[in-house]
Amino acid sequence: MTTVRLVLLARRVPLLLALLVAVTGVSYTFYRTAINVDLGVNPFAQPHKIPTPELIAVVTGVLASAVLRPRCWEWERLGGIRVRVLAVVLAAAAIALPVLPALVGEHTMPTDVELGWILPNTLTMGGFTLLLSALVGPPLGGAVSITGYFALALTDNLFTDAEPYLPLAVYPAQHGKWLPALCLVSTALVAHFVTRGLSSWAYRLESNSGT
Amino acid sequence: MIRPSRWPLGWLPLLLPAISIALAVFSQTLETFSWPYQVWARTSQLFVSEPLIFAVPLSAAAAAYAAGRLTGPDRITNLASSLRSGAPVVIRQLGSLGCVFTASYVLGMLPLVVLTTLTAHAGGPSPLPVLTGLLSVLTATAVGYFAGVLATTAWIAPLVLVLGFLVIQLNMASQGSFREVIPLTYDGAGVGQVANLPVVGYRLAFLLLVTTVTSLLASRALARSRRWKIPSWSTAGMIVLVLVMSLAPLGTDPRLAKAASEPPRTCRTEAGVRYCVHQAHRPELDELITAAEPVYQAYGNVPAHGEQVWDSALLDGSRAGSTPDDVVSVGIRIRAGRTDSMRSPQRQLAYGLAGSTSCAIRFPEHVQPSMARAVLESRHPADIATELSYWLAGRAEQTSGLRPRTSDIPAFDGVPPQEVRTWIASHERRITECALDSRP
Repeated sequence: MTTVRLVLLARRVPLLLALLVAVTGVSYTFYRTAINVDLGVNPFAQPHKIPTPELIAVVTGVLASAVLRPRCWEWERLGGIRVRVLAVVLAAAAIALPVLPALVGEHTMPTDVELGWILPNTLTMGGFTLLLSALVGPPLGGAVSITGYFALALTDNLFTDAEPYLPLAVYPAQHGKWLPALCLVSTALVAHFVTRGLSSWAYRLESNSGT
Repeated sequence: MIRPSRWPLGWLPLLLPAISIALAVFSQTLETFSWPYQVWARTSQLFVSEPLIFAVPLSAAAAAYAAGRLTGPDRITNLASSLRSGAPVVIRQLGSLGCVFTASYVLGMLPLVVLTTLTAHAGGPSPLPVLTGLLSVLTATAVGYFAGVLATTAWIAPLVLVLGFLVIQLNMASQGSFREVIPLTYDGAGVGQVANLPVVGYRLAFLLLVTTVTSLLASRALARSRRWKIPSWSTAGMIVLVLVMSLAPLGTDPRLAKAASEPPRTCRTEAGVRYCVHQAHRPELDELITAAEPVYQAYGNVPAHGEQVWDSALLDGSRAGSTPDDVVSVGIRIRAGRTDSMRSPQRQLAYGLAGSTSCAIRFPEHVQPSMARAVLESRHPADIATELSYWLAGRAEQTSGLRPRTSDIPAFDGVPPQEVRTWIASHERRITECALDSRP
């Protein structure tokens, strides 16, 4: 039991829980708001609406990947299958926990507004973030993840017919896109199983940069 | 070689947000580039409008990232024991960040400002909104920097990004309850209005206070090896002051703008009617006259309550009853390449000629039915006046050769125009007083 406790403390799970409570509160307060992304280049394009809970969920995933990163990397290399399983469990938690801020206020929405598609979106973005955090490390992975999320919003606003090809469902959506979510989440978990949470390339990148 | 570095982080963390801010701000100004001419009031107001939605969170997050990377207690750049710890560090780092981000905000706004200088017809930039916009970016940078100093990790940056988005949009989420403290609003001074100095001044003072307090507290935190401690009396006082200033105006509903006392106008008299527009709208005068003439033709003569047609920017639209008796107010919208741009002034003029101004004064509680059919069936004097305005606008629409829209409403049930005109002539006093009780 002591080992599990030490591992949970080393991965800063209590900090993650505190963070989760805070972002869930913020998300509940601003649940009905959205950010309009509209470059105005294409006059026929609808502004892309980023629901605030979805944005908060994406950022929570990035922060979770940072909080849960392995801090005893050299020591965990020596561990066996149990370290791998632990890495997969923590990655799954980092993917799953942002669902809470994403869906916390769904019951307050009017009945004709369908928001179920935020769930696969959150899982897709969480899987993407965690996959990158294992392969290239949390700082770079988080940056790419958030940049990619905004780039997707811009793409949707610039090209009116791009929506079916995007990996995320876009605001007045009826159905979520589960295929990218399933692919990315399973790939991310496999990556965490193989790398034990952080690849040696990312570890060297991080230890050299001095963060 | 050991050399003193002004900016030990490298250029990317400074350049990337600067470019993003400039591009995002520029993209938010693109909307009016297609207009035939620009208006200074709108350009100045844009400094505290949409562009801030991206500029504020981006600059705050970038400053938080830089502070998180640069100011950790173990960084060589600012050891607590160093001679220059505290204020000099903050002045150097926050100074660079603030200058770069404010400059990139200006850079993003510059094309629109240049375009306005070239094409605007009257006036000049109003300093208050411009100053508020620039100061907002500076304040966001200082607040983000402070957050990074307190967190001692660059991981605060994504959180600051999201919170920045939420805070800057508080006015939209709360129907403008935070107008005095959050600069992003849409109800600033338009054409023919000037900033309401007490309210806008309060906002400027608040932004200045937040900038000062956050940079002061950041320099205090940087001067010791522990970033957090029980606040001193002066620190607590400053925090309380910021809280009081941000919460004090809640619940009040002040106006950011008031009518200008003597707005510059351009007037012309045509067929017995005096038309006036704000000088900023000067090119619209000809179009207004072209649009108005068919309405007067349909009416048959120039009535006493319609001897002048004024741009609503010349009138204090917020106060009912402030319009002179013989003036019909028409709101002017600048749009490029609209084929039916005459429709809106014609409808407003028809509404004014039918006596709507006196109806609004005489029946302030009367709500016009939303369905045109209900208006045609109603016996209320105000509704008969509205029906008359449908008829006038419909006739004018036909004369101007617009696609039928108002004329589709069967106002006065197809009574011949000549008969309606006779009826108008015999009921002119009742139209002026909003006392119509019969139909032709």
